[in-house]
Amino acid sequence: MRLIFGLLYTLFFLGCLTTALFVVFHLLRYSLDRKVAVFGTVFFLSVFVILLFTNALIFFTLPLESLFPTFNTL
Amino acid sequence: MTHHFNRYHFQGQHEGEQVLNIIHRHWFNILTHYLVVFGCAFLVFGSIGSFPILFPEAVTPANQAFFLFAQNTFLIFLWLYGFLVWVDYYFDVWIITSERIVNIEQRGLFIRHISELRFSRVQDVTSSVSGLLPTILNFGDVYVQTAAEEERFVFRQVGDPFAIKSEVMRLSRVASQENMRDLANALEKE
Repeated sequence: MRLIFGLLYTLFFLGCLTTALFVVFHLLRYSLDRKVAVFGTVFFLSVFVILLFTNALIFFTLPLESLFPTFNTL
Repeated sequence: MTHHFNRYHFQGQHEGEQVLNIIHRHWFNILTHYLVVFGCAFLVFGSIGSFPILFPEAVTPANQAFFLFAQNTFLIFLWLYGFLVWVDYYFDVWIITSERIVNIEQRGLFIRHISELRFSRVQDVTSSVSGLLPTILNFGDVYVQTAAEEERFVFRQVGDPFAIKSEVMRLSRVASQENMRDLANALEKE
């Protein structure tokens, strides 16, 4: 059961990372002003990394067995 | 003449071409999208404080961890959505240079249209502000009638459309005068 949730979370994690990479790509490639590009990228990535890191931490400490007891019988 | 837009550079800019103005859609346009983002963020942060008070029996250590995870995940979605809206807004831009108008339309992440119009092709310019909020906040559309393949060039939901219209008309007149001068010089040489 933990494996299934782990796989689902991996998909979610990779999806978020991919979207973030696309945002950073656009900020760096298409910004007209270099300073705006750098500031925007740093601002976006700093908050995103903190959010994603804490999200992963919380996920791995989730007591899935007590949250979803019915899955334990499968 | 120096312009404070000189530090801006775009793909395809010619050598010696000066950027005279960079125009984005009016801030009110993006505010309507961000109201949703701010509203959802308010709900998330509000739920952190109010949920234990409203549903004290549901607050067990396991549930608390799960709600924290759900709120954090929702915040990630909001953050990504907020920046996707920003990318769509900020990279939708009209660039007025000393030679032409460049229209860069960013639709989402994977669609980007770039069109340009030389001032010598400009036939007529019209600005339009309609509605209560556009009138108060001074934003609207500018339509540039052209002799090019794309018959109408549109600046959508831009701030101070009358000033943009005046600027385009002025640059169009300058381009016409330069063309006449070049034509006269060419005829003289013959």
